[in-house]
Amino acid sequence: MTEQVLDPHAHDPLSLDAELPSSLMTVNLGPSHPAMHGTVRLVVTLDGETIVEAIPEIGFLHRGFSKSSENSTWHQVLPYTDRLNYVSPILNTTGYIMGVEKLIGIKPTERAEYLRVLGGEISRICDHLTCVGAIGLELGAYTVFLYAIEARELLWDRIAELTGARVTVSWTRISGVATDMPPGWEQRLRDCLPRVLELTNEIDTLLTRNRIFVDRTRGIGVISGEEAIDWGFTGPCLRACGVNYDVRKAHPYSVYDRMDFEIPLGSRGDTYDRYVLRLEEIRQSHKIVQQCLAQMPPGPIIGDDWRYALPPKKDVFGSIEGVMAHFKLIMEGIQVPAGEVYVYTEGANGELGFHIVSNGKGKPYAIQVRAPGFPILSALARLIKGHAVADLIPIFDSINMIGGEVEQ
Amino acid sequence: MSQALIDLVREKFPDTAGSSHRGDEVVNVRREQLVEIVSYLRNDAACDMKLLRDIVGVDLLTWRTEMTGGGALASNEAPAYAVQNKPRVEPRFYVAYNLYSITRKHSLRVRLDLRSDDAKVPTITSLYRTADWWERYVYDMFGIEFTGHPNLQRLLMYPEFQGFPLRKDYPVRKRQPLVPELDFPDLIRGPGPGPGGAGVPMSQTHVGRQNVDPNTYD
Amino acid sequence: MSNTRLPILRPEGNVPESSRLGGDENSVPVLLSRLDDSIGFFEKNLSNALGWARANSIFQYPFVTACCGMEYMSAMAGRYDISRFGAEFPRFSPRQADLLMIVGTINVKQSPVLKRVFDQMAEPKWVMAFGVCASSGGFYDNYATVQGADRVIPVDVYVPGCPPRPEQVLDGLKILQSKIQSQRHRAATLEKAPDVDMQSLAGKRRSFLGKLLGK
Repeated sequence: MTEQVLDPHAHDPLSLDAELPSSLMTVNLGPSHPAMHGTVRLVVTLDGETIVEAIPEIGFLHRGFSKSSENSTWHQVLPYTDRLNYVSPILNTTGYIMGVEKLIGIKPTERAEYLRVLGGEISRICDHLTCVGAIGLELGAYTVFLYAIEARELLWDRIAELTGARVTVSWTRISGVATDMPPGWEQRLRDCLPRVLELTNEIDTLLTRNRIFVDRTRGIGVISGEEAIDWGFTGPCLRACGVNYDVRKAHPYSVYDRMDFEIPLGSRGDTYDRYVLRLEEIRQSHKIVQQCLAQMPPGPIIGDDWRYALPPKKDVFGSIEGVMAHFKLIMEGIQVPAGEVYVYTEGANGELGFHIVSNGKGKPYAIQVRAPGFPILSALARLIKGHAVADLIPIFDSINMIGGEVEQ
Repeated sequence: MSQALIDLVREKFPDTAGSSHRGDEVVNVRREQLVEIVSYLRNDAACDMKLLRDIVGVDLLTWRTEMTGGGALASNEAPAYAVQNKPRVEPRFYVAYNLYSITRKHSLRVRLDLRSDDAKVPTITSLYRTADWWERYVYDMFGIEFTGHPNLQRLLMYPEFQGFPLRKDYPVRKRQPLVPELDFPDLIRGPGPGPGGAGVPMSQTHVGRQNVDPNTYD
Repeated sequence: MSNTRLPILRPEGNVPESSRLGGDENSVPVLLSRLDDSIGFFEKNLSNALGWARANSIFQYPFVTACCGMEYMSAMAGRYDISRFGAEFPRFSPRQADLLMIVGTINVKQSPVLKRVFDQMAEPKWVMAFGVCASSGGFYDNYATVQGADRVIPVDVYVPGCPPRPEQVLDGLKILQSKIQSQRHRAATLEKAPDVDMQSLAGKRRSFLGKLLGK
């Protein structure tokens, strides 16, 4: 019987110098989790408190947008597009309708362009407020959340008066918008915007120079501009890295070329920059809204080409052409000429693209959404690697992943 | 503006075809040249297309036959008009890569046609890190394989899912439940005909849905 | 299932109108068939007291997935304050929650997760389907979406809307509160809670004591 001589310090677990046997721990941040930003599953491998690896799993909000839109007429797709980025729905519907108009080769009326920009910028403010509110909420600043939601409520009241719904509006139509500003609405909007800015400034005061907030977000989730482009970032997350790419300035669409506004840029590409950038973009969007109200021309809100736009009711009931046009539009749907187009607008999270294919019939043949959050979420694993568990939530909140658009 | 880009590409790769529709420039390439062309577009200083916006897959099966209005493939089972008996449409799929250059502000679409029996494409994850998830998405929805992809698994659907949902011969309402749907004596909705006391069967609730097979619609 | 209503002793006291579906003087609807014995004085008062306590201090588990989450945030926040009704604090552990609020679309990939969360909740528990996607699948009638959360778990109150206004949500909460109030609450229950997965577990359940005794 041989005796094995063991090194007491190496293998004796009771020795004070022995290394603690440790192993990596795998934790599941499940699809149902308190962070209110979309439903994503993260399988995180931890070494103590440090994140070694993370595997995101998505698909828990895949609602079959593309397949459903292939089975609906061109206008029936509008409610589906609303629910893509449900925090800023007017931006989505505008993007989709611009794609359809590009395929047809028709332009909306001037007043409709201004109304779309106005509604879109109000939606963008709502999106940024929700994101900032959620960042505050997740880091323990419940007051910031309440202020942001109150500001959002003020804007939603105006949107409800304008379009008929608070959240999911389905407001744009081909060659125009559905409803015009009700009387007195412009004055009510002008009255509520200073209060929204006031609340934004309150949030700014509470968080931007707050030692705890800065410590938790500065230097967290850093990514360089080049790597961000390689990962497909666009929008606030890319601008926080210092890359100046905003579709509204690079390829001005609609009436953005008549608007005077600036693009805030970050310098470090971390969570703190992404947060401050969003607050600044709220202020810039406010500037655009003021200019829209000042420059708004009178006129019709929808085009008069009855192959694509419903005729006004007095013509439907008064003339035979109106009746026929109305009937064909409702029963057959709009016939969009065949072709393929990719239209991109600046959504609240980045470049929102719609790749629309038509085969000339009354339904879309294929629509694919280029959601700005999709590539950013794919980079989440890279962003959180090496940070502590407590840094996961600020990073995840600052990229503003909206489940509806990422998972179509 | 991007016509210059197409000219550049065609100069270097003469057997590609370029076209333009409503302001979008498209270059049709063959599978063998794909990685080379995309790599040229990315790395050449005149092109500098560093942003891969997305990768789109399209199924051309019903390009000529898709009906107007109503639910063409609405039933749970195989489609009512026999798609399988129709002559095969070739090319069946195409994959489109939307590229963009932030510095030069030009965009280009690279399009690649695929036959149904040969739906394989070389991966470009070595060029763009974002291609990883886009290729997984196209694989998940259409079944197009990307050879050389490090992790080609389903992205949005669950692993038990059979079939590829965005293909035109996949019925739109065919669900593959993961959890068996309940049939319990319904204290909430009250008694009535139908499963769980739901009341009127769904096939009788939609007046005018004549093109749905009531045996398959729940 | 027959269409008859169960003739049963009515409980004394104030049964709210909303829990009586299509009132008939001599019967109570199937909802109150949990009252399987006549209630005495002390039991009735205890039931009312526990019902009042449970209804006005709901701990919610917000299972937020989609757009309805925006209106959920509004319902929680300052203007449409849900904490007026006692249901403010979200408990993000199903073990500690009473009310599972299914906010948003449930798709097929999410359904096992939803079922597991529901199974982990302790009795008494209620479920609110917030929004049309949770109630009936909404307009996503396709391969990916479960046509209503009630195909997976039983639901107590449905709040339709796409998304519902916060006032609708609060109305749904009031209906649920009156339903909770009118249910029978006992100090201790000798029967097992209804388990929706009885078939799969049949024959496999063994109590701790049983295992100790070697059974």
